[in-house]
Amino acid sequence: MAGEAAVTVGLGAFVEEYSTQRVNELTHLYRRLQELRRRILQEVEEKAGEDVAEIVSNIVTAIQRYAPEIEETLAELRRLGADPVKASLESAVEEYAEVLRLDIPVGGGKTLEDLLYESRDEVLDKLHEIMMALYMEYVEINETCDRGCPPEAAQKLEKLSTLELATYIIYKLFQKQKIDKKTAVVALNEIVDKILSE
Amino acid sequence: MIKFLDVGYLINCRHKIKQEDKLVVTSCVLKVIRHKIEKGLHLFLENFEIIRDFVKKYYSTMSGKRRRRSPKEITEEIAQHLELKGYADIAFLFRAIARYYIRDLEEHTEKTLLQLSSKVSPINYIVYLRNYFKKQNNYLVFPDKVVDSIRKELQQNNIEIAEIDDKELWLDLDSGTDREDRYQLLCIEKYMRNNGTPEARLLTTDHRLPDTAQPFENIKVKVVDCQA
Repeated sequence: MAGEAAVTVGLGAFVEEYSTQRVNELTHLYRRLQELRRRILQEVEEKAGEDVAEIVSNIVTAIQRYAPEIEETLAELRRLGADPVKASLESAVEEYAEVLRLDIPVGGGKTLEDLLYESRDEVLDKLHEIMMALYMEYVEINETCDRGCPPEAAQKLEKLSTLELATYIIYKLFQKQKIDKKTAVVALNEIVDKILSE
Repeated sequence: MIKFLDVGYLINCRHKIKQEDKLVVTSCVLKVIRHKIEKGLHLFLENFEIIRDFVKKYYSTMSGKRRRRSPKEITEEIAQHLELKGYADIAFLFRAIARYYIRDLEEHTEKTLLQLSSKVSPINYIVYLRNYFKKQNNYLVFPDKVVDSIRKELQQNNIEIAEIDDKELWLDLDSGTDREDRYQLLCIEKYMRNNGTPEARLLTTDHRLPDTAQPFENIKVKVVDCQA
């Protein structure tokens, strides 16, 4: 019995503890990036109007302001052997795929798919278009960047990421009723057109 | 006897014709298809919200699992539905996509949409298609891609593609709803004249074509129903 206890506690202990420690370190750094993103979004959201170009420009400015902190986190991630851009891209593809399977519950026993068929919500329709557009683009870039990202793909990714943040801001402004439905739809439409023309 | 195939035949039928028949498609037919795809695409993008609403209504009564199917099946169903709703030009685009393997589109669908699941929800498919056409102005090159795919399939089936010098043929035609039909007939007539062919048959799915073809005595029109 004691032998079995020793085996179940000890077997794989080193490898597990070692990898957990690494995962914890990485998770901590990704959380720091997430926190920086939230601060950027909050800052842009506070002074946002309804003009997409202005929102995009504000996002770029805010990212530049936080650049030293972001860079520092990225350097630590790289030191731990992670490739933050590749990891973010892969995770974005997976997360969009999960949402676009449409079977996630949205409350009241309904799924996102039910909502898309039953509702006549133009904002939801536009967000669906944007999610599909970003998914299509990210899949393509993920394939291109499989062994190192060529400069044009990296540049495209940068623009798409900014448009993704802009989508979030428009959506938040609409949720908080700072902009009306019509304005949100126009802005989201502009974003999807920009994504697809990249 | 030489059998010519018209636009409707190429879009709706699969070539199950006896090998002893010589089958010919004129370049004019491919030109008309290209033009119709261009028009269908333009109207699809312009009326996308309306088309999406059709799709929503049509599939909303089904449960999630029952509405999911392959992209080809969805395309076929949407085409039928659009025809019933009077959107014949957009339906033509969907029929072409359902009927032919358009390489770029099929490969892209495989790499993206079909990675979500092998059976697709129609609402996802219609949004995917719209995005695919808008992406980097894909709609500008798509009509040529369709024609290339049709050409490839015709070649694989040993169906001759007759290149017709049609410069005057189209310009000489007065406008009218049957202008494209008369153009196809004139191209066939020109081919027959150039090749010394006394008589030919034209296979079509269009029930109005025999009337349009009446002045062309050497062309016997046979209407076939491939969707039945």
